[in-house]
Amino acid sequence: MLIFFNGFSQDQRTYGLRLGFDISRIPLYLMDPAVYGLEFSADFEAAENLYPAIEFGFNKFSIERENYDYASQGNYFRLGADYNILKLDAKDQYEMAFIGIRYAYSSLTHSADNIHIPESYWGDYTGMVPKEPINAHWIEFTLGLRAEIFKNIFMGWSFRGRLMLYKNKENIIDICNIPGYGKGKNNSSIGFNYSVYYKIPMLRK
Amino acid sequence: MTNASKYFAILIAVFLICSTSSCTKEKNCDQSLISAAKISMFRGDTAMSFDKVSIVGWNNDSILLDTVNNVHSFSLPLSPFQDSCAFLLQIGPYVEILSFKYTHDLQFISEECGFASSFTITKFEPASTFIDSFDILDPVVNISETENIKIYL
Repeated sequence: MLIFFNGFSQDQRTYGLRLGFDISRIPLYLMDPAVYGLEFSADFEAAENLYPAIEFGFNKFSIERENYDYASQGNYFRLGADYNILKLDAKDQYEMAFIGIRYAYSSLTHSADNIHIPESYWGDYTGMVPKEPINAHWIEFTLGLRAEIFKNIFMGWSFRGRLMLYKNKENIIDICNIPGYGKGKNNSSIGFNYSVYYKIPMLRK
Repeated sequence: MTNASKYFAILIAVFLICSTSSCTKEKNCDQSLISAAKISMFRGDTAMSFDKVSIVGWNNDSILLDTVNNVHSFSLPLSPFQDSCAFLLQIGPYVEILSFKYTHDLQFISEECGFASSFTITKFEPASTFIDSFDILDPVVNISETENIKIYL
């Protein structure tokens, strides 16, 4: 009885849905208020060292220049899995060094306003570009670490290498920022996130 | 504090110190945003230069060229406020009217520069006072240096 109430056995492992929130968005917003977004994630240990994952978020971006204003906003999701390459010393050890892959999709709109084109002969021109819908698909490779800080509470970071698969051909404006991806005119990008997680314990065996 | 916790604490500090590149870092625009039709003058295959060349826009008091010598080519800014405009070209005592019809679009140049006008010439019509013929080499008029029209005198 004493053993039962003193704690869990090291021969058992807790499984459950792990929910995450990317806290790196907070300092990013403080450094650059033009970019505002949130990202959430969910993963679980489906098999030994294999963690299917889903991430989703939204992003708003706006810049004001002397001769135009630009704004975009949209949502994104990523589907994939991470594989833990760390050898566990005990069954109740949850630290991870992982590699992974994601398929990602983003849907956004962008527009430009207060466009001012100096024209010394006929007079300065002002105009705007109405909202254009944009879709983008890309593949993402992940590399990171994740560790249990307190019971069922994790922190972790990952680097992301992204390869664009498809995006709408821009009509008038270059896409400045694709939510979840980065600079729209680049065919590849690198990202970083830093998240906190909570694992909802569901099963112990 | 576990080793893993210390590791993450250091990483947070590094992350906060590192700056990230973004679309919002403002750089200066280093190119001209003037869109104008580039026109050059020929006689047969020979490039021609003329003296006492003046150009003024139709319904515009401002003079583009005022009795300039040794002129082989010139640029005509098209009006973004309508779909046609005309210019008076004077070479010595001779006056020609150059009429353009076009469509107007906005062209995004770069984040630093913003937008410029882009025109597509649908019709170019000299009054043929002293212009024999012309060739439209590129109907798209934008900030590039590409020659748009050759006129043959």
